[in-house]
Amino acid sequence: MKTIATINFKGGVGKTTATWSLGYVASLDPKVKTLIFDLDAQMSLTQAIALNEDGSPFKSFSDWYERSNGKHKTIFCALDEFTKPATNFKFGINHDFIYRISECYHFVPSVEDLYWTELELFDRDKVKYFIQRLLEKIQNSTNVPNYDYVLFDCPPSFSLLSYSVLSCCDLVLIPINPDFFAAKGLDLLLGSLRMRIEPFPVPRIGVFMNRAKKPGGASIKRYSNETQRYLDDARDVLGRVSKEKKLKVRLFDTAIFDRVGMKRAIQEGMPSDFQRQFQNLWNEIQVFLREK
Amino acid sequence: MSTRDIDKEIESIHVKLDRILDQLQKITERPPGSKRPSPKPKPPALTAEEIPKFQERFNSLYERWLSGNEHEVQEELEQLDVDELRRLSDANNLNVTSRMPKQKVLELIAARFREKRQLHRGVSLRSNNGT
Repeated sequence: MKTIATINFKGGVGKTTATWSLGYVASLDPKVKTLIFDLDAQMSLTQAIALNEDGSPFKSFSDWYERSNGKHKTIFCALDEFTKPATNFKFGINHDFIYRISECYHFVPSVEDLYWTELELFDRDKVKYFIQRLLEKIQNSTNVPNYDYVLFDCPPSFSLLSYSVLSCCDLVLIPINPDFFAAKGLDLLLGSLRMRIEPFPVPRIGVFMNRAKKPGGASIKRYSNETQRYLDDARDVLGRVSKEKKLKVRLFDTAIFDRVGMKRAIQEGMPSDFQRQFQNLWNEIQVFLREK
Repeated sequence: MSTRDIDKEIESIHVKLDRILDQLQKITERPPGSKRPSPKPKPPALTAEEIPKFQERFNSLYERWLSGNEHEVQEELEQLDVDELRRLSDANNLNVTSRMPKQKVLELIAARFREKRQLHRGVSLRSNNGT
């Protein structure tokens, strides 16, 4: 099982769409089982999966969600159980906890209660181990498949749950957008990652340009000037910080181009060019994960 | 002055105005068959060999600018031909057009230098005096 956490401090860079899209292209291979988690209390991914184009809920999902909540099988219930003092982590894993989007693509939705995780209600040190223990449970469960990949859509901050994911994942995936603050934010994020995750080892870090712009007119350039400039800046930052902090970092060659209706891809289906780009990115990610 | 006199006067003014308009039209009209003066030919597009050279030059100028030789770099840039400056900028992904004035191109380069310096300076937003 390989685990990937999509994170960026900056909101609106495309974390949710990227997480869902990468999970989707991974699950197109019938031999590959993929699980995605929505760990953001804003529930963007959950809403994108749960709601129709017109905003009405998918009946199958809303029925399942109600059942899951009724049986106390939400991610928050799991965390609550895990952090109870002096008890073993008794939380059964089955499809009341994990929703089946398709045969190979499964999902653990977020719940509004996750907002409470930031308050002093939980044992903060214990929460750091939550995702690791939950993944062990999933891996050992006979009620759900053996997942090849698990992807996490993280909140745009170092929340308690983010710590928990970052301390056990194989890859931290950072989408950036073509603007100056992307490169600057990358500097800040990488600068504090080691300090935040310690004593756990820092996972490898992959960065890709999301919402890249094409050049105008008859230019033979691959990207618009802005996109190329900020891609170059990101490369500079990664080169410098990876040396200083001794991090294993990769700037992926594949960029995802900006597209009208990109956010609707989850609900309305993925356009073929968009899918091709994510497939290329996924191939690069797999190569990076396989590297020693 | 009678109404008839006034009418006569107005008519003579009209005649004069017509003559002036006629003259103006002759001046502004191009002789038949003549074409617009052809615009200055566009400089050839950057070649694959040129781009890394311009990028290297840009980086070297930036390094010198960053190490305190701002005036020297500025003077060197100002001495360049505007087409050369535009090509230097284009190769370094700055949005220049073939008609952009020299001053504007210089401003774009300076803005990019400042932007790079902000990134180069790293993450600390705190003062280093330890207080």
